[in-house]
Amino acid sequence: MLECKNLNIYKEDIILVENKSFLIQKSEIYTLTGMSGVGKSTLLKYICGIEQKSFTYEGEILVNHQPVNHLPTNQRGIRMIFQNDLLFPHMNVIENLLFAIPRKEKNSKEEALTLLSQLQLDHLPYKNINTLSGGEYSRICLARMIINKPSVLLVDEPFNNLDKKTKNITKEFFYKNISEMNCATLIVSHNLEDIYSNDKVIQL
Amino acid sequence: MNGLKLLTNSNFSYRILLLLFALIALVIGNICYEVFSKLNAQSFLDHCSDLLTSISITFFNNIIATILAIIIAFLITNYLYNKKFFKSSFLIILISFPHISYCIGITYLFATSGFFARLFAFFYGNDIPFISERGDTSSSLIYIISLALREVPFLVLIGLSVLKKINALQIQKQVLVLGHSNLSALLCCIFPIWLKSMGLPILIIVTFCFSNYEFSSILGPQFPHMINVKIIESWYSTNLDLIQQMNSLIIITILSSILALTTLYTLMQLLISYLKNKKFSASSNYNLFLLGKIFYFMVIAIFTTILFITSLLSIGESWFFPTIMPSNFSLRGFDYMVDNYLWLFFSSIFISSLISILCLSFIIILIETSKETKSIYKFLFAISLMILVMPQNIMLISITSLMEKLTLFSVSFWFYFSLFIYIIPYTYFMMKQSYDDLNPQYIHNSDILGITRFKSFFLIKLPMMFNEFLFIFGVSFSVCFYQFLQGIIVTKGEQGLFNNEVFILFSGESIQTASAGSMMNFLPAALIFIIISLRYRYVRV
Repeated sequence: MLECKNLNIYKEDIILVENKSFLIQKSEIYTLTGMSGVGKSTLLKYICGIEQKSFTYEGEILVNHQPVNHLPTNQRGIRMIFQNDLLFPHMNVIENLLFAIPRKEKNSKEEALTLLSQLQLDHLPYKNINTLSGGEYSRICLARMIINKPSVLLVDEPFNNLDKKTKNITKEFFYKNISEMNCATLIVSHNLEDIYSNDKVIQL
Repeated sequence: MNGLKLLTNSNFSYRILLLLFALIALVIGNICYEVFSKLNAQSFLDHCSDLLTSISITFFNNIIATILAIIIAFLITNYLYNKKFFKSSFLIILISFPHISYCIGITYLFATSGFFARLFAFFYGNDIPFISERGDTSSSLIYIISLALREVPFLVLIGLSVLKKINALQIQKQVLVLGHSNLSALLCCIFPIWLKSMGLPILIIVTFCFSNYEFSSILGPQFPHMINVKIIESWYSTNLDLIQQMNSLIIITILSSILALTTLYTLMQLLISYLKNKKFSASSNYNLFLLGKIFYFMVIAIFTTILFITSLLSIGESWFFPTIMPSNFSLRGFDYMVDNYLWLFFSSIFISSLISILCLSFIIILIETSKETKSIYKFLFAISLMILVMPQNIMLISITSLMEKLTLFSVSFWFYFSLFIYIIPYTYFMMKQSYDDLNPQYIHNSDILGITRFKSFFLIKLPMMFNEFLFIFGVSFSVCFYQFLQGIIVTKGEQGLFNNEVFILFSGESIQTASAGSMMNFLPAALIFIIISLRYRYVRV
């Protein structure tokens, strides 16, 4: 569960986000929309703990009823998919997925391979990251987050760089897995087409 | 203007490239012919067994120094990368610190009557803390640490642009949002990616370790001479057995550097595969950050102390153990240097500037025309960079032997050629990096507007990259100005740079004169550093 109370974000003296509060329960998917430059990605980064120094922030963030403002990013229990997500170039596809698993178990590798085959990427596990196409790259970034099993997930423009066909496959896969993961999800999107029919919308 | 257009003409650059390749092929081919045609297998084996101690000391000292340099360089790079207002132009003064002055400075610090011994004596009486015996561990340790710290600024300079290029900050954020610690980000992701991209600079420093003469001869006289020194000793000899020994040593040096590179590569691969499967639970990388800060200030402190001690020695009169500071001062050393070597000093600056500008122009033309250059020429240029894996002393021996065969050119030509060829790889890598860092959108836009490549270079690239060009010129100039092996091997003392005289003065009796020479040695680098800093400060592009 993710709860944000009275969030304010300023850049110098200009207020970007004013007194925003919302509560996202487990299995709920919210979409954050708004025009370019209103502070959607900035808000996401603040919730996640990756604060940008040129901004001023106020407000309280709670994960499973616990305040997390004071905690570093990796201890907040919040995971995030960036707009330009990076796969680690010194690892191949499967190693990238395994790196995302918090505690490796015996069947971790099988789990990663199953996930890849669900994504129709079962021909890629040992491929070098630099040889992947744009669509494959984006789907592996999603798969990496799914295998991480987050309880709160923030996603910044996930389907931005995909063509229509790949976008549909990825979207279907993404929403199916997110629903199964039981996590509170907040997606930033400026494209209304990307909003899933059951999504609740937060307008900035 | 037509002349400049001719230079940017691709056919012209093909010819230059072919000429360079032919010369480098000649240098490499010649040394192979010289060594293998005169090599006697039995004597090679005999030399190997006779020189086993020297070989093993050279190999282990150099490989440990390289590993240490890589670790320290990464820690400092990480610290500086996270520091907002750091100017990499500062590194030029450390990079261009003369090797000879650095080595002499280290001996002044750690010698039995050196500065630290004097400090020790001041607090604990006149017991000498540093015992130097043949093969003594402390001597090896001083050699390893000194060599490692000398290589650190160069690795940091390249390492910083590598961290920017791989977008280390984004990688760190990516690891954090996966729930892993800062330490995991640093050690499991950033360090392996950085290390993988540092292959060529590491290759350069390994080759340097196996070819340097100044460190081995100045810092390592206490233990059996390292093979780098033995090669030079044999080079001057007319004794047949020693000439045979030199051939064996050339092969041993090349084999040792290849073995060192293979060992380093294997270790790097093992480390990378270990680290990428590991996670570190510590919540902060603060300790590594702090360690980087400590090493950074340690490197600066050592370089500054050397500068301080050398300046004291250049003006101090009768400064004997155990006094910490000299009591009488005079400028006799400087007077002597000005009276005898001022002309050489300025001519060395002129020669180094000319060669650096030539090298810079050559590399710019090469990169500018490389888009249209056929793959065969790119391949030839890549092979030409093989000169990198050739230790400098061996390259110079080959050039000299070539000079004796091809009497077409004078000794001066070969002397300048050997300087030019030595700074090409450094200039190329720095220039390539600057070109890669330039936003290609500017060039695409100028292409769309129909601006010629010639105009786009002078009106867009040159103004935008001028600070980088100046910086690269500074490094190339310093590397060139501080060369001295060319004067020892190629011209056999007939012609040399100012640094040759400084090296000779240090073997003489007057420390004061030699230190004054060393201080003059610092001047050009300091001047370049001031110019670059001022330009960075007032002219932002």
